[in-house]
Amino acid sequence: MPDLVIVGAGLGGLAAAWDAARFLPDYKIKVIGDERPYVRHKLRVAVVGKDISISTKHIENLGVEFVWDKVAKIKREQREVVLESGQTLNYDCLILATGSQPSRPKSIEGIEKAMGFRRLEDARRLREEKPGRVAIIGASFVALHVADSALAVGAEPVLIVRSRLVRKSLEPELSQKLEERLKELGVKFVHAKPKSVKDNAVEADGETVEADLVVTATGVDPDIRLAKEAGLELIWDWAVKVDEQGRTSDPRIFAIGDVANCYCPVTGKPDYFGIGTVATLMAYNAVKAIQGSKAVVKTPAYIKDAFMGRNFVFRAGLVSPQAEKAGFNVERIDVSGTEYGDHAYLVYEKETRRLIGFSSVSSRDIGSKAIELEKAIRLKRKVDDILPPDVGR
Amino acid sequence: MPQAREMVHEVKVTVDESKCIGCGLCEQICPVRNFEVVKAESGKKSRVTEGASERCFCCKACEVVCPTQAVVIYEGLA
Repeated sequence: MPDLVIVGAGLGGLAAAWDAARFLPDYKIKVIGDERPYVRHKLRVAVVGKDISISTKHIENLGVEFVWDKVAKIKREQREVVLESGQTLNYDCLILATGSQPSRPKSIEGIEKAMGFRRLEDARRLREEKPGRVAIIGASFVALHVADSALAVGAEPVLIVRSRLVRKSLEPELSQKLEERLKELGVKFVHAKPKSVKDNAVEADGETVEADLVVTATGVDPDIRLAKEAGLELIWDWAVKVDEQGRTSDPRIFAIGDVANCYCPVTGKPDYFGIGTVATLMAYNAVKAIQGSKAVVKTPAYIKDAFMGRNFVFRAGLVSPQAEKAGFNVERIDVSGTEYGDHAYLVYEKETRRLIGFSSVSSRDIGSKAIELEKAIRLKRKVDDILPPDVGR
Repeated sequence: MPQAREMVHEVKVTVDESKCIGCGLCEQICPVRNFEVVKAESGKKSRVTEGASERCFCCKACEVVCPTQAVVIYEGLA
């Protein structure tokens, strides 16, 4: 019976374990996790004491074994995984789902003093320390989750924003609209470049932002230690390089989720998109590849999220600055006030009128409209085919 | 200091039966068994399983693979 070892019990690792249990009945499957699983995306509700743990029972019922330990080393020649406890596991196939850690930009002096917002203990700390003011470095979705959490525990969130809110997911005007909405709900904004983190303050462009707690939310760094030490090929020097099925430079090892690159649905080129949707689909692709299938479910650039009540953010494909950077000559259509949300834009290639991107900030959930546009982007449909009547024609 | 507000994370897993073609892709991709394909009067249809909203990871892979946009995850904070 061949052995499949899955390293990591986050969303990607669990999805891979569930898929493998169903599609690889001939394999003996082991998952190695260094913490009990929980839904990281719901860390905000853990801040207010709610249980976000995930049961692994349905996976264990299919014969998958969970080992709660840390991996010390991967020995590729021997096809062995060495655990910190000293135990050694053999593998015929290995799936790396080691995830990522909060980024700590070296340009910010003392950044190691800032808390990340990634683990259950971070949520617990935010709850138990009862801070009056939380300084949040960054403008990412995680930064907004922290602001949400701060408000939920009665603290004042101050976002220190270098450029603009979720700039890779929103058109510039929409970042502004979102900021205006969040200001009304009690979120403070400081537009400055953070220089250093002190014990109870952040220095940013000469301004001192005092806070009881400082959180870093500038993005994530893939946890590539094991892959790097095992000599697997990297991409951009910071993520594990994989093909569309998740195969690394070692054909027996796959990497999925935050630790690896995915592929942009617009350009077809390697990209990075550390979200659960991509992790789940990459897990499926990797297990199908081990099964011998060549089929690939394309990974999307797709986000739906909500903040501080009914403030929805939708994104599919590329925003115009990203599209231009990728070499597209783009134009936009303002579809605000339509079925696509209160404030929304479509981005398309000027010459071909191919739809490239969509982003929206809205007080209402737009239901299936966001995913319709995501599919239209992947299927390379023209903007004219999907425009609401009487808009931009 | 602002007043602490209650945070309720609402998740609703939905399948629009009129759009569903019963292909079973949502059932295949979901890591937490939130869908099952059943035989309905109008042919095969995907149904949301009991307790789906509590189990949902909100990964939205089901939305991505659904060929007819029948599956939608509603997620909001109150």
